[in-house]
Amino acid sequence: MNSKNKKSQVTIFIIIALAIIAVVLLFFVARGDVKQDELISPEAEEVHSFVMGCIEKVGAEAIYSVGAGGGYYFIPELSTEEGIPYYYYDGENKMPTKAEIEEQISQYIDADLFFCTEGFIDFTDYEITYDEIKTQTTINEEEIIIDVNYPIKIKKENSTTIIEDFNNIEIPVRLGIVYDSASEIIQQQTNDGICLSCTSDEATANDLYINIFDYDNNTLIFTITDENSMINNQTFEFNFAVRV
Amino acid sequence: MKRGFVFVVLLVLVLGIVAPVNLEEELLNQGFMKQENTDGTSSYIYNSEGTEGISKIVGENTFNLMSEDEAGHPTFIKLDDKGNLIAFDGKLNEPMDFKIPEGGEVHLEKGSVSYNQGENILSGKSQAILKVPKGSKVTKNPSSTIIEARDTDGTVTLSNENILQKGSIYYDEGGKEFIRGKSTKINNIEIAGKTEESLTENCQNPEGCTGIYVEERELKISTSKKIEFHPDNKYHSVAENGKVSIETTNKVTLDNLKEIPTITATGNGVTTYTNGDVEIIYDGTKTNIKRVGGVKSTDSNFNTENSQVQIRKGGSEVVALNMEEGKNPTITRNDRVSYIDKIPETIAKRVPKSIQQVYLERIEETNRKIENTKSEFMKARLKKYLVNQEERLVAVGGSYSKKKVNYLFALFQN
Repeated sequence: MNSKNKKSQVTIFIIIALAIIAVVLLFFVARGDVKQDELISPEAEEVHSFVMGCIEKVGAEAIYSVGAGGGYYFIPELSTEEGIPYYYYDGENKMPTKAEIEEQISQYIDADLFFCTEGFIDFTDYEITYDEIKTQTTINEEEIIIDVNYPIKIKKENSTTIIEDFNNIEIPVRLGIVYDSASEIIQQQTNDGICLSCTSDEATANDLYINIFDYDNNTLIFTITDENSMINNQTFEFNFAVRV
Repeated sequence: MKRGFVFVVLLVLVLGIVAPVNLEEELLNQGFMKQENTDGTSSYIYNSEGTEGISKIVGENTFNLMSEDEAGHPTFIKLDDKGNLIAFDGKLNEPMDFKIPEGGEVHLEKGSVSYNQGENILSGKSQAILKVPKGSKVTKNPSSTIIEARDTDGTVTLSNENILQKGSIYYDEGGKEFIRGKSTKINNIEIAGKTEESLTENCQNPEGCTGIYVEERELKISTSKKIEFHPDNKYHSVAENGKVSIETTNKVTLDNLKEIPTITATGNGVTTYTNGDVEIIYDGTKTNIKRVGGVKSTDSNFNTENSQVQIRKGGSEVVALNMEEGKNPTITRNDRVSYIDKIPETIAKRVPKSIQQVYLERIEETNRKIENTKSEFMKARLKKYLVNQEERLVAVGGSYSKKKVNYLFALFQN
C-alpha cells in the first residue's frame, strides 16, 4: 500500500513537472523567444528556407524598384513619362509619407512573392497549399525590416506542418536616411529654385551622392545614390522629380 | 679600367645635374659682360640690345638702384604703357633711365631686384651696369609666356591656363603674365575695367597671387572697381564694396553652370547670379538655384560680408556653397552633387507597368512553361498554379484569356 502510494506520488510529481515545463515552454513561445523555425518539422524546413530566400530576393527587388520609382510601386498620376514621381509640383509638396512607401514595398512583395514561390511546384514530395500573402514593411534609417504572413500547409504522408510567419527579415538599405534627405531637399524647395546649399549639405552629412538632371524646361530629376547600400553589387538609387 | 672610366663619366654627369646652375654663366648667356671691380665685387655689363632679361638678382644692394632708402622704404617704380616713368618712390645711386617697352612696374625688395620676363628694364640704353655683390645669387624666373596688353579687343587662345594680368589680375601658376590693358579678351573672356589701385598692394602673397582658372568657354568678366585674387583659392575673387558682373555672351545651359568660376564678394544687395538659363540667389540664409530661361544680363550684388557663391567645374563637380551671414566663408569642395546632361540609364530604361500588366506577363510565362514541360505531373501542377495567377489577376481588376494575353504582348512589343 505504501509502495503503491509512493508510486502514485512520484507519478503526480512527474506530471506536475511536465506540466510546468510545458507551461514555461508555452510562455516563451508566446513571447517569441523561441523561434518558430526551431519548432518546424524537418520536412518543412526545406520549404521554410525556400520561402525565406524568396522573401529576401523579392524584398531587395521591391526596395530597389520602389527606390527607383521614387517610393512607388504603382506609379502615381503626377509623374514623368518614365514613372518618376513629382515630389514638388507648382509650389506644392507632393512627397509620399514614409508609411506610404512602406505600403508600396509591402504591395510589391505581396504580388511578387507569390511568383517567386511559384506555387511550390518544385516540391514534388509534398502536398503544399497556401493562402494570401500579407507583408508588413518597416523603413528604418539603416535597414528595412520585412515581416510576411504567408500561411503554408505542408503535408507529407500523415504529417502536416503549418508555417505562417516569416518575420524580421532585414534588408540592409539605408532608405530611411535617403528618404529623410529627399524630404529635407523638398522642404527647402521653393518656387525660387532648388536649394543647392541644402542639397550639398544633405549629401555630405549623409554620405550620399546626388545627381540633378535637367529633364525639361520646368523639371529637374534628382537621383540620390547611396553607395553604403549595396546588394549584389548594385548601389541603391532613389529618384524623384521637381517642377518649378 | 673600363669600369673606372664609366664610373667617372657617370659621376661627372650626376654632378652636372645636381650642381647648382652656374649663375655667372647664366648672366653671361643673357647678354651681360663680366667686369671685376676693385672692391672685390663683380659687375655685369648689359650690352645686348633687345635681349629680354629674365633675372632675379639677390644681393645687399645694387649699383644703380637702391633696394630701399635710408628710412627702409622699399623702392617702387611705375611706368606707363610707353615705358615712361610715372611713379617713383625710392633712391638711385646714380641717374638711370628706365624704359619698359610695354609699361609695368619694377619692385625692389630688400636684398633683391626682380623683373618679370619681357620687361626689359634696361632697353632704353645700349649699355647699362648692374653691380652684383660677391656671392650674390642670380636666379632665373620660371619660363613664362608674355601676353601683351592691348588697347583694343583681341583674342588670345588659352586653354586650361592660369592668367595673370599685372596691375589687374594676378596669377603665379605657370608663370604666365598678362600685362595690364584697358580691355583684353582671353579665349573670348573679356577682362576689363579700371584698376586704379595696384593689385600688387592687394595681393598678400609674396609669391604672387593666383588668378582665374580658364577653360574654353565664353564668359565676360568686368568689374567697376577692382578684382582681387586670393592666394589660397585659385577660384576665388572678391569685389569689395562694389559690383561684380558676370555675363555670358552665349546662351549657357544648366550644364555649363559647372564651368563658372567662384564669385565671392562683399557689398550690399541680394546675391544673384544669372548665366542665361540659371539664376543663383542667395537670400541671406540659403542659396537657391533657379532656371530662368533666355539670355539675361547678370547683376551680382552681395548682401553679407564674406558671402559666397562657389560653383565650379571639376569633372561634374559642384562646390559646396557656404554663405552664412555673420560667418567667415569656408570653401568646401564637394563632388557629391553633380549636374548631369544625360538622362541616367536607369531612368531612361524604366518602363512603368501596371499591376495588371505584371500579372499578365507572369501568366504568359507560366503558359510558356506549361507548353515546354514534358512531364504531365509538372504540367498539372503548373496549371493549378496558373489558375491561382488568374484568380489574382481578377482580384486586382484584370481579366485574362490566352488570346488577350497574346494580343497585349503584341501591343507591348510594338
